Amino acid sequence: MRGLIFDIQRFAVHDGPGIRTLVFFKGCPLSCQWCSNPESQSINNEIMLMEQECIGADKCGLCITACGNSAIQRKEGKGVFIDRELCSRCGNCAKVCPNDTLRNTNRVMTAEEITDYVMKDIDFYNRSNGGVTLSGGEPLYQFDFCLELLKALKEKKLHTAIETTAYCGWENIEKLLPFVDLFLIDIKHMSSPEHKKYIGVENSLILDNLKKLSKEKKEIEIRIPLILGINDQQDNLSCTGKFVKNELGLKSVTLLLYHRLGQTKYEQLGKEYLLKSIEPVKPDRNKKYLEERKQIFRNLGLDVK
Amino acid sequence: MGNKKFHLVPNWEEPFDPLEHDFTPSERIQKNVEYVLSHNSEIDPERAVIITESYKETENEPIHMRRAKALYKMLKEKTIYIKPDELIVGNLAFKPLSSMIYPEYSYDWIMDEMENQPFDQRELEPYIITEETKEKLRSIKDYWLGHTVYDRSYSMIPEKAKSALAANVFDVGNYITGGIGHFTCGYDKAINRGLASIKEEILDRKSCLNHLDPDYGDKVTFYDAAVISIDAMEVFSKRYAQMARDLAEKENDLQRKWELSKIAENCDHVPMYPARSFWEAIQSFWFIQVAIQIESNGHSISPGRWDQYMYPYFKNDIESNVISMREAQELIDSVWVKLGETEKIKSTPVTECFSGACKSQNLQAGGLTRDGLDATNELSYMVLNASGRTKMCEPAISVRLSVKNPDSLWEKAIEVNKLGLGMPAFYNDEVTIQMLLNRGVDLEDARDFSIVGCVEPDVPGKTYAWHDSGFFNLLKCLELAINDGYPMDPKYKEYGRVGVPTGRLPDMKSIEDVMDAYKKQVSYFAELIIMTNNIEDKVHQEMSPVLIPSLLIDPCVERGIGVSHGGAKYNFTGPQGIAISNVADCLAAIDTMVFKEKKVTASELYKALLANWEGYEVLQQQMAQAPHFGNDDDYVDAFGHFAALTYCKEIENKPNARGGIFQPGLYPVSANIPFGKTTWASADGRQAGVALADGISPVHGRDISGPTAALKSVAKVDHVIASNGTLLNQKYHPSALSGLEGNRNFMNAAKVYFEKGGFHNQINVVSADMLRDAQKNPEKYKSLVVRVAGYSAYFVRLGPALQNDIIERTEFVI
Repeated sequence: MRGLIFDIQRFAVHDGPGIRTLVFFKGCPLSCQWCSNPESQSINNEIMLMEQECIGADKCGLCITACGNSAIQRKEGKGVFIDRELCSRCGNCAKVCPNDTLRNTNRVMTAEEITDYVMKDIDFYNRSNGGVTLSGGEPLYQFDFCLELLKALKEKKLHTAIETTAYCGWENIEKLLPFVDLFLIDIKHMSSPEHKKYIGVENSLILDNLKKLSKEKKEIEIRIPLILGINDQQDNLSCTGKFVKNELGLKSVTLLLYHRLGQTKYEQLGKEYLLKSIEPVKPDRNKKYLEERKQIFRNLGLDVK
Repeated sequence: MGNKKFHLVPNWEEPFDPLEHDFTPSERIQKNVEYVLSHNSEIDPERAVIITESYKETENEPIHMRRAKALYKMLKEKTIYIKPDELIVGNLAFKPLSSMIYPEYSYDWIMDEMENQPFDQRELEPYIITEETKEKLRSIKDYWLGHTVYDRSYSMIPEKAKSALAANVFDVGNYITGGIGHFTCGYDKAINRGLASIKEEILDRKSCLNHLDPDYGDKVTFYDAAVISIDAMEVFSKRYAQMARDLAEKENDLQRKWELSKIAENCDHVPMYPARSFWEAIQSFWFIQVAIQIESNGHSISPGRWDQYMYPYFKNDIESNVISMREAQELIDSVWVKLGETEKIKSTPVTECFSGACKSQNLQAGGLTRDGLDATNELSYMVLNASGRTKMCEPAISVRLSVKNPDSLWEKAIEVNKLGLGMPAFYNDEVTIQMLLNRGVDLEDARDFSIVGCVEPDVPGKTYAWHDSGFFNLLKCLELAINDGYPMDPKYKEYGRVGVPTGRLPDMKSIEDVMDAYKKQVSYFAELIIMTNNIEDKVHQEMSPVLIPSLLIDPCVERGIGVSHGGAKYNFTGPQGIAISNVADCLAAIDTMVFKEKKVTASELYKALLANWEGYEVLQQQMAQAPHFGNDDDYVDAFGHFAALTYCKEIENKPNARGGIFQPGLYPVSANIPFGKTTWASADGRQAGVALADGISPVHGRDISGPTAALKSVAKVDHVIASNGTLLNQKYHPSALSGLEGNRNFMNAAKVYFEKGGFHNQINVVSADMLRDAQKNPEKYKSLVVRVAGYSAYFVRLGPALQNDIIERTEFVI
């Protein structure tokens, strides 16, 4: 079976234990406004344009010729731009581009190809108790492929982790259970209307799935992205903490600090970044802010990472 | 100390755990560092004037005597100083960070730079020079111009080697313009026995010489000269004793008065007699280190296994309560500042090859004992602490890591790296020992190795190895290989065919043809660099043999032959091949694009190269998309292995001028930059003039599959055969190394690299300044990833605003 991924990253050290390889899946049912991987959201191919790499249409211009829809046009100065209205996302321009100026976000790979590739770092996983983490996007968006890949990884006796929104039918998660060692799941907001506002869907399915998952004796890491003014209010965090402790019976949460590192990718995709006005949380300047938030969880008897 | 009333630090009694990462220096050390750094590099003419006077007085004497008498005069007459509050004394130039001049090695560049391209306006390593100094240097010009080691060597080098030098296929600037450095003498011999005992031995041996030995005269001269050099050391140390006593007398502060009188006591005793305390042992070490560097300007005079030979003194003082742990750390920190105070001027071209290398006084912690046991002790951690506490670029510090060393040593080494020093470097004991065994070194000696200069393995106290005897540009060999032996750069037209005829790229039918041509060029130039090094070697023997290293490198004294003439147990000469990864990338690009996929003809590519890609920009981009070394791709990595092995095979085991052999290394120091400037466009899409790859590290920005992939690729090169050392530099953003988890991940990655046969690894924890450089030169940093949970992007692909964001973050993460 073939699946769509947009990147594979080796020596990933923040998504599960040890040294890991991160496999990024295309497609996601949510649309978090702070998403740092916007190229993951659509299941369709998209063209990313990195202008600074372009050697100039006068010297090259291969993409202009290759485009059947006249979507690629010469820009004043040396580069090109994509008229996204005209673009059919066929990717021909990126195929002829002699460097990385134009890139297709879709990479078609089989589970076997991915497994072969991630096995290159087997010695590093073994030494560090690391393994493979499926991320995205939402890996479960390509459920059958995800399941096949997890089975293949488990056959190689690798430690597997999955970063999922848990926004799917429980029966799907259930099918994964034998092949996943660690679930990394965000709780983005405890209020369903707020969740819908910023993420596009309500939270009830996610929370229900979390409750069911917590009964399965699987390792779960709950992550809370801290977004200024959106979900970092005292009551929301305290509510989240109580849920984690009382409903899920877990002992810790991980705080992820909001950053804007994905912003450039929005520009490269011709998309608008909606959170421009929100300041990233900076551990040095926002010490007090962070401490206060960590304390909310500690007061409930939770460890904070 | 002895007198319990005084202590070296006010909080001497507080508990101190060397394993804890306490990098806050004492007030004294902080002031010492500030005092040194408040000085500008300045040129000191004293040595040049003294040696000239001495040489004029000894015109007809044997060279060993001339050298000994000059050393005596220098140590007797040169300016000495004791800095405020310092505990270890002994200085090179007249002020901290100043540089003496060594006219006997080369003088024309000094005059030339002084008169035509002022020292204080140099781009790299500028020096202040006063009018008075200029006058003094001019006054000895007639004596030296045309009569130096450089002039003699250059006059003997055949024309074909000269054109290879002119076209920058290889370079021997280091030892043709300066003294021979890069060794580790037996400091322990001086510290434990004292020089007086060595003098006695010399006199004994001299009296027992066989009258029928045809070298009788040479040996007597060597012994007589060696005795003078010991007497010179005695005069030198006694001058400091006297100065300390004078200062003590005038001193009102009782603490300092006590310190000065202790210093006087120390200097009266060492290095002539066996050290009686840790403080004396360090003082003895330092006198030797200084004297070696006054005698000759050879750089990378490496202290070696300091944590081993100092340990008995440390242990004894701690156990008998002579000093506390904190006082011991204070003494170590003190000598670190002294190591940081040294400076040696090099010519501008040599500076370009060695920039940022400081003096490369390489010093190790950890490793194995001679018996193959874990050698780690408290000092191993304390020397690493000292680098963290002084934060100077000297000594160049390394950790030896065998499978027997504890993880806590890794941990300490990584924590010091996180301070942003780019040190310590990590060395794999198992591979290093194999390297040395393969060159005929005894097992116990091999286990006792130390690292010299940048990355060169050496047996301390037994080796004179001419490490860094030259740089050899392998990408230039490929350029000549596809252009029938002619440089492609029109500016070298006057030299005609520099290499051997191998045909041009359009005539080549397969990648094997290209590889074969490369091999022929490498083989030809390898012979030339070997010949050139041997010529230089003979000239150094004739004109500038050295004495102090001969006292402390065995078995020179026993044999009556100095190190310069092959008196050491192990004699090597080590020139370095550079640009392995560029050659690999070029071969892969030519093979893929021309021969396999036939996307471009050999003629078209050849034309594009000659045009330096002008008018062929699309092709240039396409060539650059071919597979690159450093991504764990066996196809291209095999070319890297080939590029390296070809060079190593041509160099290894050829006889040198001291009865030893040549051994290849694969590292550039900073020569990849000047060599890049003189290398024409290459098939990997590189433009003429762009810097070459650093060591066996992948080409800048081409290792886009992350550090584990780069480590695996680099480990595929045969490190054992490159026994003069290999160098892998990796950049990590602090986000990849944060916390204890980060330490462990780095350690585990490095351990896998070592298991797979890697020799050396150095990490640059990316600083905010480096990121600013990345904004300006994105091509060099293409592979730099900022690692945040669940996020993937390369730094250089972020827009300027976000990059600034990250720069800001970076400033506090470390």
